[in-house]
Amino acid sequence: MENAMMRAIEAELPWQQIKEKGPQNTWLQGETIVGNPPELTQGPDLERGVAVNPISTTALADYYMRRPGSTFMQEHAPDLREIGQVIVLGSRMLDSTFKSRAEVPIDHIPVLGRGPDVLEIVQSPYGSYDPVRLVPFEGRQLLRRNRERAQREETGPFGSLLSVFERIRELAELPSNWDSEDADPPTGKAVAAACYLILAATSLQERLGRSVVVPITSSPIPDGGLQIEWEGPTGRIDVQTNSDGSYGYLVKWHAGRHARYEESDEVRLETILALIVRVLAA
Amino acid sequence: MVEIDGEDELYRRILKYFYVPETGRISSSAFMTKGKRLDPEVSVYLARLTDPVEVLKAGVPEQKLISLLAEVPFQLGLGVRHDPTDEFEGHCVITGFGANWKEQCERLAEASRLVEVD
Repeated sequence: MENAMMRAIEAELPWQQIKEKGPQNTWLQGETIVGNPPELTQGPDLERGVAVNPISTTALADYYMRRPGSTFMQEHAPDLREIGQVIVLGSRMLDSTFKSRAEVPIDHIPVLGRGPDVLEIVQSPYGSYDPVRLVPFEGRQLLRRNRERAQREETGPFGSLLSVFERIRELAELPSNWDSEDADPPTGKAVAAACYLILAATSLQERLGRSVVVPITSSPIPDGGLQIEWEGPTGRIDVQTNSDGSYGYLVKWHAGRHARYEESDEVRLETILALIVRVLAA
Repeated sequence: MVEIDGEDELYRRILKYFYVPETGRISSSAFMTKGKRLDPEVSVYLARLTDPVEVLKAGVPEQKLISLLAEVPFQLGLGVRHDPTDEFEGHCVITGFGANWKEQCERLAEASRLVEVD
């Protein structure tokens, strides 16, 4: 299985071709990707459900994850380790990334804002061949951009997130000891993970043709995380974005004597999104 | 050592962000603590030995006070231990959180109510 996947990735990576294009098409500078050659910038074909761009973030991420210390990395990204930072080109790249995850069908892909987003590739706790999480690296930068977008799109679904992002901004500015019991302020990774989660959940609802339900509230967690809460007809979900950018959750199904709880930590974003959809649809 | 009865009222100081005024809901994160999640000690104050105004004064600006009965943590299998400090004779800690600590925090929050302090 791994060999087959590796062959597929190799086929998707025309490394020599890219390298031969010369400095005018240089898309790696030091350890960051600063752009893609024009011929490689087509996004996945959503109608056909296939990626038409010959290089995807998935392939790139997988390449880095699988080949620490490879010749390519030594030449182009000598400081990039198995867990490294990559700048990707926004929604198309994220689309490609999510396409590779079986849990999120191609037509349910969340779309992040336009423009370069700094992401951190985090090694999966479930195995070195499964880079499950792409966490925006600079949370406050992401927050600022999305607040601005929400302000511009006041009347659309995204605009309904303005107050949510305003709240996150307030939480992101909490000082140390905000609870008078030595709490840590929310980390950039926690803020970024929260922003990305909110965006992804909103986008997912749109793609499913549902009315967008925004989080009912958000709050800090004393060890540098945040908690975002959604409520549906018969359920509620509290999602924790932890200080390291990982996700956890508590779901409450039903109320009163029939209440049933589920909770977990170190959970994939895809799992969280699926739960949010279930809660909001219940 | 003070015995704590199920009928005893406990105060907890929380940041304003844990309280949703429109619904009266208190977030489960109001009972989360820094550090070890499976064995935290959540600070509360025994109401009969505590001046709520003083508790708020000892915190940070814009904090609020919530209360719950001690029987709530007891029913969840948690303990409430008297843990007096120099400042507060009525200081206690809720102990014994387990693997379902998020659910326990949520149930504590659901059973809590905002205390209006003049």
